[in-house]
Amino acid sequence: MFYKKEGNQELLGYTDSDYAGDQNDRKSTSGYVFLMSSGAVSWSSKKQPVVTLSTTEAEFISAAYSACQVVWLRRILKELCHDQSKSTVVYCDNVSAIKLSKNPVLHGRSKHIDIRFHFLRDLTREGIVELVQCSTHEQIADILTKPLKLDVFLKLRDMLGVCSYPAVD
Amino acid sequence: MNSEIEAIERNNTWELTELPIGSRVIGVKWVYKTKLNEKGEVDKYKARLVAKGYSQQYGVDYAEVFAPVARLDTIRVVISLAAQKGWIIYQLDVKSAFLNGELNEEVFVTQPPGYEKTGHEYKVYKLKKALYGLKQAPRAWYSRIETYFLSVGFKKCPYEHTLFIKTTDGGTTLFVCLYVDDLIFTGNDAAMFKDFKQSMMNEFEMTDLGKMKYFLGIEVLQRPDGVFIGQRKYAQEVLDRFKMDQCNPVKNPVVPGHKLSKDEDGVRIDSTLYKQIVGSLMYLTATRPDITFVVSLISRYMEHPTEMHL
Repeated sequence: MFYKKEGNQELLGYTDSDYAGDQNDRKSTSGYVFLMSSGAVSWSSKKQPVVTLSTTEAEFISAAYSACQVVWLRRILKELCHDQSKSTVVYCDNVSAIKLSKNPVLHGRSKHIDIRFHFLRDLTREGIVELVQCSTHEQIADILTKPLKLDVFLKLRDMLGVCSYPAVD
Repeated sequence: MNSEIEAIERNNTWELTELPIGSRVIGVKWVYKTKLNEKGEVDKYKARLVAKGYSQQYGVDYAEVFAPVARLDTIRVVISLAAQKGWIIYQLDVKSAFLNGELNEEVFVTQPPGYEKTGHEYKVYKLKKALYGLKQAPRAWYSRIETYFLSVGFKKCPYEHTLFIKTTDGGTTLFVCLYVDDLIFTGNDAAMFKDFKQSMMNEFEMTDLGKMKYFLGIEVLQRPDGVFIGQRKYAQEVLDRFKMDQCNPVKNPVVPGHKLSKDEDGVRIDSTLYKQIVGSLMYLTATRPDITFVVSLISRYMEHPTEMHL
């Protein structure tokens, strides 16, 4: 892992999830990663506690998890005199999950989503987190949710800031 | 062994007394360890006196035992921030840290084997400070160092209890991250580094490790253009431990499209070995987000591993 001096100063996040990846109970896996100084500082890959009914819902749950981590990381950074003045950008490749985070409407397909995951909406409204769309190819958190083809794996690994010892020189 | 007894006595750890009626006494024993240096040669033989903490009873001999340790996320955030600002990170190590912890409870221990005081063989030691092995030793040490940090002007971070911050009016800051008896510190002022190191040296017995190079099994390389962290040595040790050092390396940690399931009818394998492998890999994810998914995937089958999961 290499943290570059010239890397990104602000915290940057990616969140993703697979859908029903577990063969036995059809639960999905959430993953998020946060980058600073062009290296990953905090990441997680975790099977979700509930079965979800749509990819949007699965993505929404991962986004909610990453939002909790944003809150904590921002506090730590504030203590370290590196206050994040702007809202932290978290990239997500699911448009409906982003819409769901901004728009406090309940409709047929999302009304069952558990209240605790609506924590994300609160944070979006307060300007702490901002979900931004990115293409699936730029989605670094993909590496934390599913097995990838070799070329994609190597590309995303690079983007995480992971490198071998000689590569530093 | 003599030097350990000397350290304990110098530290004013205990006093010889008679055991009050109704009090329990805890046994002590010697634990011997051979320390190797980075080349694998014998560095020194170490003897440590430990209390048999497993015989302590909750509520009688100890109450609170929780002691916080730093999260790896925090350590990485500090490293990444230092890389960005071009700060240098230094490392210190407290010698026999737990012996500094002050005890709140009354604890009596027997005299160490081989070091009984002649003429007082029936007496016991009343502990004023903690010994290794006691249930409350880590907590006693944490409260000791916490009190010290707060007394010299540090502020504790409310969201991470092992992160201490000191700021001055001149805008200089010092950050200290504590991991039991190891600590790293960084900041924007060289004079503060010097003062901090000196004050720590006066308060505790310390080893100055200079620039942060090796912390919690993570190798750190500080360069003008950034900071590199890795676990090459640890990864090699894991491979050796599971006799995989001669295996062919793979480029991708998991075959795309490959699905694992519970495999109820598969051939069972030793689940202890499987758990050891998973545990060892788990720590490797400290610097390897790219293998995090696979490690969490295989850890789902710890309960009932079969040949399919190896």
